[in-house]
Amino acid sequence: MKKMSKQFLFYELRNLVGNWYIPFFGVAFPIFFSMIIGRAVLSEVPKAQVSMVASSIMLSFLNLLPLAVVFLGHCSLYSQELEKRIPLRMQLFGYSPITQVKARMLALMVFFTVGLGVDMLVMSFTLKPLMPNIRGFFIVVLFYYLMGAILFMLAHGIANFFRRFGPAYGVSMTLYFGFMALGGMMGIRVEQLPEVVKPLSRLLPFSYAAEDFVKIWQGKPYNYAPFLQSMLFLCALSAIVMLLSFRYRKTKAY
Amino acid sequence: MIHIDSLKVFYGDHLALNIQQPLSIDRGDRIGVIGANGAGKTTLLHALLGIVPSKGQVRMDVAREEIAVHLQFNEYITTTSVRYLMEAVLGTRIERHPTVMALIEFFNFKDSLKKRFNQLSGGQKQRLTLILVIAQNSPLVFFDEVTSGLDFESRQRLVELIGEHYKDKDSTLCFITHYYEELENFAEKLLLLHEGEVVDFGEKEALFHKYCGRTIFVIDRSEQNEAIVQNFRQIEAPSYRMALSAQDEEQEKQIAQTLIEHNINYKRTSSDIEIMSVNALKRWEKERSER
Repeated sequence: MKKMSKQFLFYELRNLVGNWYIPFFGVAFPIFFSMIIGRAVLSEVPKAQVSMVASSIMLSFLNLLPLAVVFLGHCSLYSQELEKRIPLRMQLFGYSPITQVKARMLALMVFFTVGLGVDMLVMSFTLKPLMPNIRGFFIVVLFYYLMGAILFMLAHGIANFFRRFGPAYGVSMTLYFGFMALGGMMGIRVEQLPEVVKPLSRLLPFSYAAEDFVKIWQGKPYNYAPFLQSMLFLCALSAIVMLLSFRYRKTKAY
Repeated sequence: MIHIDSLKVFYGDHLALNIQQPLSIDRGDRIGVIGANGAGKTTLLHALLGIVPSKGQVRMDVAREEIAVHLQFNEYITTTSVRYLMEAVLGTRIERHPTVMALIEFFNFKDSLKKRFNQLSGGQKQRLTLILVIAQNSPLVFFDEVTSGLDFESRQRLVELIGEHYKDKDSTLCFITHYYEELENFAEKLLLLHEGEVVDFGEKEALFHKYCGRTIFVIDRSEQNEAIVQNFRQIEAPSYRMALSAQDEEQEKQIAQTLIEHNINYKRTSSDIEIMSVNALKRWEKERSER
């Protein structure tokens, strides 16, 4: 079997960039949304708290990157490719399923890193958040990467289960907006959510990122236990979905 | 290279492929796999490649990943140009791959490199996969309905190009098709499948002799012609034609003389895959009903 080449990695990167919804939902959309919501919210916040709220908005919208780039991006791309049997075609050209998945992960990581950098840079100018504590900065960035890895499993499982773009895209879009709503990224903060929805919101890590990450960002003391539990929950759920899809399709990779 | 003792493929409860007799594909063979839709041609390929689960005993001297395959349907991403797609498959720049450069020239594909896959015509799409498949330089290559969706001239030209490319090479080629005429100049052996079973397998000439005789004379079917040739041995032929079988030179002369005397246009041949397969199938069905 062939090893991953530079050309294969560039091919994957071009594939990601060529699908307009990945740069749009993953890079442009968080900037655009953060500017609109930031302008509306920050005008009503006392001056002393503007930077802190701005940081909270920025960290909340950076949540969209793993969701849009990795989750939505991989799910929609991979389901389309499976529908057209492109992974099989590439396997017959000598690229094992594992190599193909590795190349996709690496390309997503590169794209994700660039997107995160661009979004952080632009939001730093538009929202003017607090300067981060170095440790806090790395923890937050690490969270986004971990979230990307977890959501990759979920996206892979959904795409592999349906193997058709239509249903896979429908499910992933529903979950995308669902995660956004539950994470307080749709204009309604987590504490403003209906009481029945709040436990579900707290079950997922997005709400912590939106509400609490500003403390970590500033290097303030923070109880990580509930947040880590929510990460473990989403990780377990994603792994189960992926493994069930393998079982359903009787394959280990696609 | 490949030896099949037995091979079965089930799609649910349906037995799609059921090979019971030993089949051997040797190095350098040029094999045409023929049969109607649903005969099991593609299923056989998929079973050999491990794309579909199968049961049976198959020995392969070549690793599966070394087999080059042109599938019936080949799709690629449409978000980047064909050039980058090819470079991803090749793992290098096109300019650094002399074989591919030569193939691009050979298949007149240069202008297609800057296009995306969805902007290519049917023939260009087939050529793209052909270039990539041939560039694998595999000892065993399968072409599954490589000309499907192309017009007659494009089909003939593509088969000619493939034939030209492999003329002096010892790669084993398996050409799966339901266009018999494509195999006339290409195949040395034929594997005839029907309803998932092997009707026959062997040298093209041997099969022709077995089912058609030494030579056949093909004429148009008409009441007048039927009356004229009624004393000669007729074998099965497509409904619009008649095939007269000659077992030796003397019979040949008699048939030719009669046809010339009555000013009937004819084609004399000792290789007609379509008529051979019609007769092979008829005999196989008769034998099956008697079993």
